[in-house]
Amino acid sequence: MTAVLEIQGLRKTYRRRWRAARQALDGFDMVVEAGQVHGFLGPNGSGKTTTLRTLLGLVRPNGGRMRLLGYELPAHLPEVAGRVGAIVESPQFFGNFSGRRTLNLLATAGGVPKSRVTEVLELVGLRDRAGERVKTYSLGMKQRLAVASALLKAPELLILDEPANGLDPAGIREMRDMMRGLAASGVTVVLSSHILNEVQLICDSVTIISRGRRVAAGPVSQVIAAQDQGEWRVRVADHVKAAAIVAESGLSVTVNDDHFVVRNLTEPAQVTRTLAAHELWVSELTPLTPDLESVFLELTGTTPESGHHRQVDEAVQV
Amino acid sequence: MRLVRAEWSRFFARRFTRIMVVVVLGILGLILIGVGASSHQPNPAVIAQAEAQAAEVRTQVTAMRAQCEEEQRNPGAVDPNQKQFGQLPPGVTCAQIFDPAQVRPEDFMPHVFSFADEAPDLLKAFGGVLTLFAFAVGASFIGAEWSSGGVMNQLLWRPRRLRLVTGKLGTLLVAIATTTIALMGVWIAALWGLATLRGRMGEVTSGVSQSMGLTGLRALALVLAAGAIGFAVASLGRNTATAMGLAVGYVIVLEIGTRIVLEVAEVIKPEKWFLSTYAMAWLNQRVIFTEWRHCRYDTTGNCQSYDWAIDMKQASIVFGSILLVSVFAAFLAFRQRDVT
Repeated sequence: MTAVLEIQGLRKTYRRRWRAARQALDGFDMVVEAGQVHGFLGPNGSGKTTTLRTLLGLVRPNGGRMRLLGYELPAHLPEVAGRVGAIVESPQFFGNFSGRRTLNLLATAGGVPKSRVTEVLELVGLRDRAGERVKTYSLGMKQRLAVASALLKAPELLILDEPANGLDPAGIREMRDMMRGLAASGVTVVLSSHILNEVQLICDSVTIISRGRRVAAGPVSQVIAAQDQGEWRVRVADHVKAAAIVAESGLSVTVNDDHFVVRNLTEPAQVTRTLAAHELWVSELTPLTPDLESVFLELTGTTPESGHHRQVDEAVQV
Repeated sequence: MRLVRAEWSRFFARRFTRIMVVVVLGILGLILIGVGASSHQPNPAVIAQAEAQAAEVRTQVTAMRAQCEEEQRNPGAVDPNQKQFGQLPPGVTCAQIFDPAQVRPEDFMPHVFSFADEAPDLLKAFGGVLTLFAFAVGASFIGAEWSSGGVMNQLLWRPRRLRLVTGKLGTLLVAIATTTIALMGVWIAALWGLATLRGRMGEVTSGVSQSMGLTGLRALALVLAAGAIGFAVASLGRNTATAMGLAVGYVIVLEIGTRIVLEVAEVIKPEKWFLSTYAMAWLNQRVIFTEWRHCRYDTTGNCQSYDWAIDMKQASIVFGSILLVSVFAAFLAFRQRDVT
């Protein structure tokens, strides 16, 4: 497959007057193949938006290489900008213009026919509210308008930063369907989102970033499988005694309130056999297959801990 | 060209622009009402009385001129007790001092608005009002774009930053020029109408027309400079409030506060420190001030006040420098800065 987006060793440090410099990207790498829906995940402040802004020419990198649709960036960005649609962070528009006028102005400046404005308004569900001022829109409607502005160019690559922000459940589902439809028609979608179950449903591949560096990348199934530690949840009447017995048989065990978890278990029958020998009867034996959320929390080191108020920069650095 | 079309459309669609045009029309309307209210269309009886008074004064002036000339011709022949004028300064003649043609019936009538006499000054007032309009509209044009995220949206479409900012500034200036010329036309037509209805046209010679034309051009240049400076300052601060705050701060701290301090401290030529002076100099071609705090001693040892002036060349240097520095800094920042 062809890579439409390649980033190697990207570095960005924000230098601020009277405050210490902050390194947002520290040798970050990323590859997105053509036709994929690619999830771009990371905790708050991990460098996602900086990466997207750098790709789109809004922020100047301090180092590293970027290629978009085969062109080196930022030198050749003007040549590919017309083929890339993007929304970055929260949608911002001039509040006193209507949604339609906002898109019309962008279309006029970008040489896009006005008929396309009507098409994208229909596509994002704003057809009937297009004549109203943007400042009267809800967050979800502004989000839809932002997506419409990104779609205006009929892009080959669509970069969406938190597109589901503020959307109602139906809107989230519509957004998901729309992205699938776009991917089916050959559009590559890069999706940055914190709604991890959505990402797991929509995306073919993911890149996870933490403190400016890549901590995982690849097809969603592979990233999840890589974190599968063969854990099984075991429920039994006297689970403390049972856990001790299983541990004596050489398995790694963690005792919880009403069950225990066995790790690196390749043959589940080993547990039932061992406990049955001590007349302890298993009531539940469930594989704990990780989902994207647990993998994300594990990889980024952001799993919430009771009694600990995690700070934004407390994440894993590789 | 597409960018210019979009920016042009945006300029006139903006509510701020429309409100400011209404505000400007309101201010000009108030000025017009004030001038109209103070103008009294004379009836034939008033005109006849004024003409009679003018004729009487002309006779007196002619007699005084004759006496003046006699005193100059034969200084010794006139009784010293009867002498009224003495020796005139070199280069000054009695005909210059006592010119009956200068005595006009209008001088003996209640104030009548005269287009030929007053329109040039009212055109300068128009320039002043439009200068404030242009500064605010220029600042808001880019300031609102920065704060609403419009600049970022446009950069996603047009990553060539210098072209984008040049297109925006260029379109803004063309739009301001168009608005100014249209309003100037309305203003001159309104003054013309006022002269017709409640005053008189006066002698609108080609010289008056030419002078008004040049004043209009200078006003337009000042308006465009103000628009560009407003744009530049708001772009540097990334919001309209930066430019408006700077303007209000300038007026309060410098034009009012510092002026008071300089006058209390009796600083020499304090007017040269204020932009309003240079704006007046630009519109009037020259402004003359009389320095009376720090007099000059003449040959007889008397302390004499003296005049000093600021002309439009100095004004052009001041405004040109501010314009160049602010626009250059704004373009540089627009090209370099991270859009976060």
